[in-house]
Amino acid sequence: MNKTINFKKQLVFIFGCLLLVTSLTSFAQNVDFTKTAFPNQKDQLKEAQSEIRQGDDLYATGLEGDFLAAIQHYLKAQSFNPNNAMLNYKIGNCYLNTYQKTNSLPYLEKAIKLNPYVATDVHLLMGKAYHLNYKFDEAIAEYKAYKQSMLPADLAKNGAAVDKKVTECETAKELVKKPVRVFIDNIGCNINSAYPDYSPIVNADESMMIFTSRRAGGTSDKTDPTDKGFYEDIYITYNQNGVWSAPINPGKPLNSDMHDATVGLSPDGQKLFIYKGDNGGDILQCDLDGDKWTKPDRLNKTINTQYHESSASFSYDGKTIYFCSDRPGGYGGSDIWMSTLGEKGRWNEAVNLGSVINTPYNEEGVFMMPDGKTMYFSSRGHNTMGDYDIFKSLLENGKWSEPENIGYPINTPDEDVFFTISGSGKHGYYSSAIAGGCGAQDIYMITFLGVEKPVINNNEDNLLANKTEPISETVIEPTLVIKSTNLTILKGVIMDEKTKDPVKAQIVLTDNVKNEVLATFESNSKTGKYLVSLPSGKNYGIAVKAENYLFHSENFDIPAVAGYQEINKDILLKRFEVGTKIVLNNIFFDVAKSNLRPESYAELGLLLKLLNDIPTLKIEISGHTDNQGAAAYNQKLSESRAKAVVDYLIGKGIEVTRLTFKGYGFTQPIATNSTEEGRQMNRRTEFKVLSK
Amino acid sequence: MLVSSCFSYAQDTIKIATPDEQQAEKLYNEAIAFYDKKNLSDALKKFNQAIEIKPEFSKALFNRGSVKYELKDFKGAITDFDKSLTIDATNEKAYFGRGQAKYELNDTAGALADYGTAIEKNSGYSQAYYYRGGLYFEQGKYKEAIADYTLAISANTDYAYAYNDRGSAKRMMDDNKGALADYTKATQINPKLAFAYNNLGSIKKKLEDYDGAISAYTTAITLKPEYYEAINNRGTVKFEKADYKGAITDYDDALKINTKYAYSYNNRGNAKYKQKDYKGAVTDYDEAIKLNANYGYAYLNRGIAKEMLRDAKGACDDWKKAATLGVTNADNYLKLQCK
Repeated sequence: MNKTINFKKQLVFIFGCLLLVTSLTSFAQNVDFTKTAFPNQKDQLKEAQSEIRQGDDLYATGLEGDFLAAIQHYLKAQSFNPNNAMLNYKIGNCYLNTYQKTNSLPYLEKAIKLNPYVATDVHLLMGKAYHLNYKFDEAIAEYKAYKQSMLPADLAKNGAAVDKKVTECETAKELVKKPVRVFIDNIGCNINSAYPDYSPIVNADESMMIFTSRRAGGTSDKTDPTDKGFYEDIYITYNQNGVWSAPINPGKPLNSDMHDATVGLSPDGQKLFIYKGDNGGDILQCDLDGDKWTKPDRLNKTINTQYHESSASFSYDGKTIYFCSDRPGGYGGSDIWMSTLGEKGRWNEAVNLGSVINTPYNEEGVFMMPDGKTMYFSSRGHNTMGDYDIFKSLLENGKWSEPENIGYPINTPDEDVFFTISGSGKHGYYSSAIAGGCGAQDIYMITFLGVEKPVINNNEDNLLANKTEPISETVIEPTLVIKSTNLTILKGVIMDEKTKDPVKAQIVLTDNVKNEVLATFESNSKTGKYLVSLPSGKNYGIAVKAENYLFHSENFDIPAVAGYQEINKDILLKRFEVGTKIVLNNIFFDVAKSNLRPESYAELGLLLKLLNDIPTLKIEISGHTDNQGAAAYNQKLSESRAKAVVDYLIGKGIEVTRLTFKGYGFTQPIATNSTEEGRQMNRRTEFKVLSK
Repeated sequence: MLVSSCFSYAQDTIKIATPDEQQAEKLYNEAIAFYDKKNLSDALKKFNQAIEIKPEFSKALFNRGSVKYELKDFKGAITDFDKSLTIDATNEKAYFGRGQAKYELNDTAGALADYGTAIEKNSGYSQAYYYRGGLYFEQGKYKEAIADYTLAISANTDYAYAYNDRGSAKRMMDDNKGALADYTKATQINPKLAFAYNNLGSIKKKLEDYDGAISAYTTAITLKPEYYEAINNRGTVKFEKADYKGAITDYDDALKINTKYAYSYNNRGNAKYKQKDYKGAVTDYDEAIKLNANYGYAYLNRGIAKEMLRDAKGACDDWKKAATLGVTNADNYLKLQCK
């Protein structure tokens, strides 16, 4: 070992003179843009100086678009003289203020090499550049060096912020060690443009996506003077068989000549929250009426204040809004707040989500999943690995769980904000400026692979000495819990039974056990499409109502442990005519008995309302069974069940003469009796219009 | 190597006093001499001649039964043991031999009864305990097997096979430390037993003593260089240690010895998967499946690799097949990820 060192020393000694000469060029000193340095390049020097001046003017505004423009000027000067510390520093700083932040590193490295004292914050910028380039140890060293260079007053004020940067790097090191298993795919240049495309939001079943784009050809061809980019517009794309359609600009009134940005979408895609920059930043709502979006309507003053309100998200039932605001009364910076929908359709007083979620730093980009309990949001606080990271928290028994960093590579040292996830939890969408896209910021889809699936090895041993045949080792398969969202999505088209024309109908979602209306949705008038989110753990009654039609009822009793499922169900509404029959799917009896269970009261209430609304209406209630057991027994059971319904209605004041009851036993099956599913459909209560 | 030598209990030659009168005994001795030279057919001929002259020659009948057993004429062996027992019912070895022949003819109840009688006649009959223990092992009666192996060991304290097999029975009962002790003892008694070192390696793997396991497997392989199962096993320990490169080298070597060893193809696929060489992994799983079309885990693993190759349909098809072959995780993946 020593020998080698000696040998090297000798080499250094022998070639010392040579090295001295070459080092003058390879470890170049700072070269100023002066005549002394460039005595024979007068014109080129002048040109470079002019580029620097133009760059400096833009640099001074501190606006993102200007930083991008300044870089173009600076790079021209840089190609003339790459060895000026200040120019390298400025180029580095410009990049740090654009979406091409990682490009800053080589310039800052060079700046500090040329002149270690080029600027007082050069170590801070170096720290940021290393941080963004995943060189966390180097970043920590630079942050620490910066802290040492701080003056006492500055240290007292900003020392903690530098310490936070160091902590972020430590967190980043841990998160990068254990990456989350995902595929991240650009959703394609037919959706993304060469301009920034961001803030994607998908509805619950991923059939629709809205996003914001600053592409050319929007509602206005003007550019924002602050950053020189086109004004934002909202775009919509639909997914058919796994392929996103060409994005549509819905035009006015959804989009305006100014910035129009997406912030939230209801799970059924029928309601939209958008952001407008006036009044300090406000949230507006638009509804899809057929194929037209209504004029954006500013949410009331409990939501919108003179402060900055930004992202917002609906709860699955549309009765709660989660949004971000930097209004006073929070925990610092922007916080997440919530508000519930009041009686008259106005949002109630906003409530801060509390210190488990909100930090002294900014919280942004809130997204509530349609399972009613999982919230995703971005924060610069908590254990972020740098700038905003995306976090997840669960609402359980009225309390938010400790936010969990959703991990690298979804989160990066840069700004990770505006993330949405499909109802199934399988796909997430976000935007990123990583290289290899369609230009500027692009929308990416994340496919969550979950925990690694263990591959299984097989081995064998000669367990018995007197046997030649080896015996295979017993394989114990590791149990793998793959979490899925506890959510059922019910969707389909509501149509007229005979004409098959789409019908705009009201869908009333009821908690049968509590006999309580949970939410009301509407199908789209143009397409008849509907989508209802049913978080697991309730016995849901669904009543579909439309004028001139008999109501239609469905029952979904979903256990709390049920995973994600999508149910496609087209609903055929029957015209309100004499002789029409419908099944009452939310009338429940105990097994082999005829006493009504309390879960039936919600649907009985609908029936009662119908009879009260139309005083001339006469109906027949009939009971039906499956074919298990004797005919006489089933006839008797079905009749006594029908009678129980009639008795209930009489008890509520309906005249006896308007009601008839009949038991049909198993004489009128509507499905096969050879499967349990069919038998369940056959066990039913119906009503028929006798006269109206 | 592992087939027991049945003739270990063939009886000694007989002293002949008067040659002419003892023609049968002479032939008997010639038969024994042939047997010693492993010339079974001539041994059989001489026994036949001896018994023709002296049909009640109990020792000759017993030994001819043993030769027939070796020649895999199990029914003939049983007839001879039966006959010898009618003449001399005290010969515990005849019961034991008959038990073995019955076992070969899948008459396990008969074999158990004969081993039992042999033990009744001689309570120190270590081999009878050992074979009865083996029968219990095969029936999944590990507790009974352990009891018999223990008796075999107390009758013959150097009984390496009994230690090995008792270790295996303990392993089946999840008494891994007990198994470790027995396998260790087996290798101490007979340091040439490659399979005992292999088993020692496997129990160390189970106990997560990976370095110990590698060294035991290495000894097994040194004793028996063509022992591809042990090489495959060592590969898996390296896999557990995340030494995927080392694992692949072992699987390669196992496959050089046995080109049709589906397990090593499957396992090498797994090591390649871990190295993110998903295509290489699929190629290996393909080979494993080609060799064994009902290899459930190879389908499971291939599905996992295909998922990483973005071949969702291929993954689902493989998991579906694995699920029909009884792989539970495949069924889970199918339900969660495949429509």
